[in-house]
Order: sequence, then C-alpha cells, then structure tokens
Amino acid sequence: MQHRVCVSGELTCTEQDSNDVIREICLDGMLPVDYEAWTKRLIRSDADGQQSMCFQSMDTANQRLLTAFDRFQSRLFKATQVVESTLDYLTAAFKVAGASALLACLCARVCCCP
Amino acid sequence: MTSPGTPTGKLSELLRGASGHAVIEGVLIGTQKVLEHMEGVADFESHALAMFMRAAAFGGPAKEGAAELAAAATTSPTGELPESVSSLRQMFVTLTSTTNLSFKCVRKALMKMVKAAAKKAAEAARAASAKGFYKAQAASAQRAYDQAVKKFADMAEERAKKKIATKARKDLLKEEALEKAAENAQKKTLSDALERVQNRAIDAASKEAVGVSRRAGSIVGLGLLQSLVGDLQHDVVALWLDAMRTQCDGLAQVIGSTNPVAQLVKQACLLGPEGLEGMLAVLVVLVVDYPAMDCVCKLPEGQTVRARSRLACMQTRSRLGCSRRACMHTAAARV
Repeated sequence: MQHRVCVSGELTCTEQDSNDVIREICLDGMLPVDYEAWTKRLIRSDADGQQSMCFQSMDTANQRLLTAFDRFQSRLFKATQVVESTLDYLTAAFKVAGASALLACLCARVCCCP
Repeated sequence: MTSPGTPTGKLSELLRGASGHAVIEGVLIGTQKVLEHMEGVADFESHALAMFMRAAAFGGPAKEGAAELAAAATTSPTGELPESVSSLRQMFVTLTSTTNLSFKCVRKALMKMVKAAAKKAAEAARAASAKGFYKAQAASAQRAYDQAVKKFADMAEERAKKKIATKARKDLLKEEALEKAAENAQKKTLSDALERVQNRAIDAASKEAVGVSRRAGSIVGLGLLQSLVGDLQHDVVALWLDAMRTQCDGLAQVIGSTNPVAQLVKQACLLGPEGLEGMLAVLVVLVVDYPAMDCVCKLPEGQTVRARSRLACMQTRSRLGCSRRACMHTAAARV
C-alpha cells in the first residue's frame, strides 16, 4: 500500500501496509465506539481472522435487519388475540341485559295472552 | 408495593386495612409507574436544543460542531424520519420523560465535537506545515536573489578595476554608467521573479486552508450524526423505550391488570416502544453497520489492494490539496 505525503505541492505515494489504509480511512471518520474497537481488533488479526470477523459481523447485521420487527409483530399478534376476549368482556353486559329483557318480554306476552 | 415516600405510597398506607384496599393498591402502583417516568416531561428537541445552545454559548470547538451537526441532521436522510415514526415519537414524548436521554445525547455530542475539532486542528496543522513549506520556498528564492545580486556586484567591481587599469577616465565613466544601468535592469528582473514566487505561495496556502476547512466540515457533520446514532442506540432503549414499557405496564395495572381490557391496553401500548425499537434497529444497520463494514471489509473482498490504495491516495491528495499528477505518476510507475 501507499504512504502519502504532500511535497512540493504534489503527492508522493510510497509503499505501506494495507492495515494502515484501514486505519487511516475507516478510523479517520467518526465511527461509533463499538465499531472503533471492532476495527482495531480486526486490524490486529491475520487475513483469515479478518475475513471471518467481517463475515460474522455481516451475518449479525443481516440477522438484526431481518428480525428488527419480530417483537413488534409478536406484540401485534398478542394484541389481536386479546381483542376477541375484550369484545366478549365488553359486550357481556349487553348480552345479559338483552337476554333478561327478552325473557321479560316473553313472560309479559305469555301472561298478557288471552 | 408502592414506595412509602411517594404520595401514592402514603395514600396506600392510609387506606390499608380498608375494604377494597387490594384493588386500590393496584391502581396506585400503576399510577406511580406512569408518573415516575413523567417527571420533567418535555419535548426531546426542546430539551436537547436548549442544552446544545447552552453548551454552544461557551464558544470554542463545540459551537462550530453544533452548527455542523444541525446542518447534517436537517439535510441528511437520517435526519428525516418517516411520518409514522415522527407521530409515534410525538405521542410518546408527551408521556415519557426524555431528560436523561437528552443529557446523555448532549454529553456524547459534545465529546464527539471536541474530538472532531481536534482532528480539524490536526488537518489545519498539516495545512499550516504545507504553508510553511511555501514560505521556505519563498525564503530560498530570496536567498538566491541576494546571492545573485552580490555576485553581480562583485563581477561588476572586478571588471571596473580591470578597466581602470587599461582605459582612460572618460571611457571609465561611460562604462560605469552602462554597468549601473545593466545592474538595475538585472535587479528589477530578479525582484519581479521573487514577487511572483511569493504571490503564488500565498495564493496556494490560502486556497489550501479554505479547502481543508470546507472538506473537514462536511465530513465531520454527517460522521458525527452517524456516530451518535450508533453510540446512543443502547441508551435510547434503556432510558426511553424501557421507561415507556414500564408506563404501559402501569397503565394496564390501573385498569385491572388481569382483565381483557387491561391486557389489550397493555399490548396496544407496548406496540409503540416495540415499533420504535424496530425502526431504530433498521436505522442503525443501514446508517452505522453497513457503512462501517463497507469501509473495513471491502478492502480484502471486493477491491484489489492497489486500487484501494490509489483511491486512498487520491482522497488524501484531495484532503491536502496537492496536485493530481504525483498520484497518477506513482500509480502508473507501479503498474
């Protein structure tokens, strides 16, 4: 890789280690603390280790993306399950009132019938 | 159990032993849970903004950083949340206190800004060293000019001495006048050249300073926002969403906890924090995880080392304001 210096208003690039480029470019931006630590750990490991860390991290990110709304959907399912019993609970009073009213009406009709 | 020090706890103690105390205690516990996280409830933006303004009023590096962050937050896609998220957030910020989160957010932002200011200072120092180089160039031109003038004077003197010995007084006077005119012309040419070199050096240095400051500003603002999103994700869950969940539980307890209506209220209420957490997770993956891995992991995977290094070279060139030729030349030479 290249080492960069500005001499005589021009850029001279010399050979440099590939990890230095990661250090210079990726750590130069403002990474979150977790990723800064992760990148530093990655720089210290060998090529196979780096690849494995990248794959692992990418899998984790993809998994997080896939399961991001799982808890929300689970909660939505629970809410829909409760809706039925809630409607029963709320309409129970009307049911009882309606049943007794019907009974009373029937009784009255029977009594009033000639 | 309600806390004995709180008004609800005192009320519970007061009613202890009375008929229906078990039901009342549930209501009181639920009320306390809801009220507990409503202390100092205020809009997140107004809280955070007020604190930012107070911090920025002190001046220093935070002032510039706050302006950059504000610009990035209003112009970048991360700053513009979908309408559903905004309305959910609006609903919950009027119920749940965000004071702790605001404090943490402002503290983190200020720390990042100071760090960014330090990086900018380093960039400025690099630019200043380049400026120093141009100054040194100008000084060496001045030295060369002085040497040339001295040499020219010595030569003229030597020649005059020789001529004194061989020619008459009259001829000598004529010759001296001619020499003086030639010397003046030479001096003027040299001083013009020196002025040109100095002007070029000053122009290049000022262009560099402006360019470095602009580039650093635009990079830092967006990076700061992404960094904040990444760093604050756990705090958002712990300080804001968990408080909402507790409030939802309290709300259900007020209604009765075990009856279906209370269960429905609880589940419906919990949809808010769960949805916000999901959206936060998506935001973090898209804004923080993928860009970070794109930078670190793409090097051995998608790009060759040479291509990447050349890109890096170009980026640094643009940051330092150097000319393009050197990068091209070295890359061509290596190929």
